[in-house]
Amino acid sequence: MIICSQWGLLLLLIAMALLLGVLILPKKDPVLPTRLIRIACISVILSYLCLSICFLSNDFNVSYVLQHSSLLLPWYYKCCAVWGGHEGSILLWMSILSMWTLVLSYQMSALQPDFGLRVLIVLAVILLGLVLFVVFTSNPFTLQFGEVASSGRDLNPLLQDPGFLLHPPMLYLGYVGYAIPFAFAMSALWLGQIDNQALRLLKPWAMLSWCCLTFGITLGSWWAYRELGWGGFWFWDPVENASVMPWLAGTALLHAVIISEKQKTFIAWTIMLAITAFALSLMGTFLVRSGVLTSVHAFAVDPKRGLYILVFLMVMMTWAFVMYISRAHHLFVNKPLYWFSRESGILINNILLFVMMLVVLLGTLYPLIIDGLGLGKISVGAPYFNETLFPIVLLLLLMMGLVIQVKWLKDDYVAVLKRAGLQLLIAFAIAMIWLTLEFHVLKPQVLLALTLSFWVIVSLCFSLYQRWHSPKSLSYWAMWSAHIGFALSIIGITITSTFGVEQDVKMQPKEVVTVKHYQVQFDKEYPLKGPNYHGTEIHFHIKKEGFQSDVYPQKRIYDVGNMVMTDADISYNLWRDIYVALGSPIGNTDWSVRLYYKPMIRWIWLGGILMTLGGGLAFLNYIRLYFGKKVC
Amino acid sequence: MSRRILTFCIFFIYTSCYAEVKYPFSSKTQEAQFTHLITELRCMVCHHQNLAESEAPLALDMKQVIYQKVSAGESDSEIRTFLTDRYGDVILFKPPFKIMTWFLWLAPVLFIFFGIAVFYRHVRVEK
Amino acid sequence: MLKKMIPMGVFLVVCGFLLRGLQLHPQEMPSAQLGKAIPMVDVVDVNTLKSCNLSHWLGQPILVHFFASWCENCTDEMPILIDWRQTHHVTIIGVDYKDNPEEAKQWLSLWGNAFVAFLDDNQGQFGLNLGVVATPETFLVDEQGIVQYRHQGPLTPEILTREIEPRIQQWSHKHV
Repeated sequence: MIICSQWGLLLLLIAMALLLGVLILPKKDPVLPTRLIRIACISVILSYLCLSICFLSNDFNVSYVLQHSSLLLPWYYKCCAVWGGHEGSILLWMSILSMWTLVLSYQMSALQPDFGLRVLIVLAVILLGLVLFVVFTSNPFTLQFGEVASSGRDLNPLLQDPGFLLHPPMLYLGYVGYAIPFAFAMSALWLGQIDNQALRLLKPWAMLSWCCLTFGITLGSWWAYRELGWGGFWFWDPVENASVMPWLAGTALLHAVIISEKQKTFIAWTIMLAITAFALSLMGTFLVRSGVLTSVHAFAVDPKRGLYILVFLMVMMTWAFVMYISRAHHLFVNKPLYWFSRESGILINNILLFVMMLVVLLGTLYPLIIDGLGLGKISVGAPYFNETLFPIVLLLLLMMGLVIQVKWLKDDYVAVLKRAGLQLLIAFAIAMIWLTLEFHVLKPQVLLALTLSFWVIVSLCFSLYQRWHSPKSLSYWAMWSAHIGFALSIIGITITSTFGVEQDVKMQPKEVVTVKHYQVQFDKEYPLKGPNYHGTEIHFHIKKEGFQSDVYPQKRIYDVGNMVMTDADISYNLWRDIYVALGSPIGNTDWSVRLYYKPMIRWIWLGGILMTLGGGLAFLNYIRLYFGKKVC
Repeated sequence: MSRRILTFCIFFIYTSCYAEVKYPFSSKTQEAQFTHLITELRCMVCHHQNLAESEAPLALDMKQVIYQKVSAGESDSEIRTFLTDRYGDVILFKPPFKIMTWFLWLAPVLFIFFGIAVFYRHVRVEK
Repeated sequence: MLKKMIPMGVFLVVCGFLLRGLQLHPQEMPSAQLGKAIPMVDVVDVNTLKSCNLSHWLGQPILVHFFASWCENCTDEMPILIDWRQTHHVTIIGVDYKDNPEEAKQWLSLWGNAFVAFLDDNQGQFGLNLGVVATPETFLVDEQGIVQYRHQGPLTPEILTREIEPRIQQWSHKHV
């Protein structure tokens, strides 16, 4: 099937030629450039499909397939293996960008022709940059004829998990999605104006990207928890930070966009946040692939590729900054907001989100800055991020609970604060009672975090109660769901970090260890054989008064490469996880085992799902409005 | 009823004693100190893990040394200094507050102040 | 106008650091022992079975080389070290890190022995005190016992020529 891979390369070259054509040719009318861009996008998507076919047909003459797949790999993991390495993942990036651009090209009727054309051109420039990158430095279609009878080097076992089927594509949908708001922002700056129709079209794109990114991050956290065997759900690894930074900018963006239609003052924020979100997406891509920061997630490191991405980032952002500096003043009216209004509250929240993003950025890059200045090496890890972001998240929760109930344009602060004070008291009472009864400990930081999180929930419930008898719009439910989700996630994070328990023990067969009133018994060891691995599985029986469960953690050795992996098993419900992971065997029959009790950990991902749901509802609402407008 | 409780207690004590905890401590404070230290220290072999998570031989050695020091009653800063003397500041996941990291630790406060300034510029008080 | 340029300025500075970052090696962690006196940890000399420490060999440049019989990279290094020692006559002390001394003896007889003496560090205490992460690791110590250079990984002729020899020559010139 060598022919398939060469078709893949040819399609990329066709796309490259078409995009160059679009940029060089004079653009008198939008029809031709739009058509050329559409064909280029289809080319890229077909090229990705060619690569997938190479994987599914085990074409090991393509070196990328050789490195990331094997004959024994199940077909669904072969599909994922396409993005298992750097070259394929960039091709995925491009395919998603092509797909989004293609869809957008059919929405041009909603935009002014000059505006729409410029948006497509910006996207074409980005796509061209990526095509050149792939063709010249990261070609997934290079052939090799050295290893003839190989069965492939196999996909990294850590990635052979259902979470991996969805996590990277979701993240890429999010990252790449921010190219659209970026293109809108650049077009607005270029033309010196942005009309309400364009803003209305921008909203679903910003929302869609945010939903995908939220879901991608949630999935990633859940996957790491299950796969890595230490019961951790977030590590402040540079690659994780690379996904959180666009998320923070993106959250601020979607709030800014919501207001921009009503209040022209926010347009400048929208533009700036759109540019920032995409810049952070690109920077994230750079950090992961250049070797500039050590990370467990990083792809095979190549400074040459890193240089290309960095230059691309610098060119795009310098263009954006120069446009912003010279033309942004055309776009907004500097009308001050009333200090106690929903707009000003959202402004405060945007500022807080932006500050959080800056803190994460600083912490991630600081070791590099210190090293670059020749001052040695330091590490900036979880303790730094947790300690600096915790107070800001508290402020965010405080504002969130308040702003939900403040009216647009202007509101009476005395009345609102009285009401808020009452709600805060209720929240405090609930937090106190729950902490005392359930956990028997009253740590001040935990109490504070819980009070504020509960306050958001109480405030949302009050708001719902006020509207009980009036119709509630889809956008209201979207807001409700997303904010409750955030509060639940914070509760989950706080409780599990404070009250989680770990036991690292050596266990013999039939031995029982007690973890927080649960008796965990090592029942029996079984040999294990899977499609591309072998190993040991141990049956543990968990018992408590009125409850029983069985878990089967495994220790797997993957046949290709002899990689050893711990596959933990979890007994879970909504309120707690009992997590059992195997360490190493000791002697003939004993094993070192790690037992974790994790209270409320599922709420973290439940919150993530609710946030995604909220975003999804808002997105559906925009689609409904968009089609509604078209029909009538 | 009391017989059941007694049996349960004996069973509880029996099983708790029977399981060999890797790092047994005589007091809860020491246990907390140990846990807190090993989560803040970086594994020098697997750079993305802390000592608590790492199974590398060097990490196990370090945990053993830290265990001995905590049991002997040494303070957090003594143990940290012991390790940074040998492995450098890199081993600390929480950057120490020195001239080199002033900006790192103070920047969040600085950013908040900038934020307040931005807010002031965009907002009016009179109706 | 100038105020508006600040974000762009910050961005360009960050990019400057990122560019610089491409030339750096974040995986490499420098030794915290450079410039400090080498710790005098008591270890057993495997051949004489007597307890000793490095003070025995002070007064000349020494290479303290951490190795183990289970370390694959160490086998490639040994011929290079033996060759080098014949031309440069520098004292090389081997430290058997987290290993069984008997197995190490057998390993040395199989692969060659460039060491003047080899010390038993089966618990890894000496290594921990020097900040050793993995074998092979080599420390260059001057006459006063100060650690002047540390190399992680197998020694190659390039490293010996580029880093170790110039330093030793510098010290011998000071005598003259």
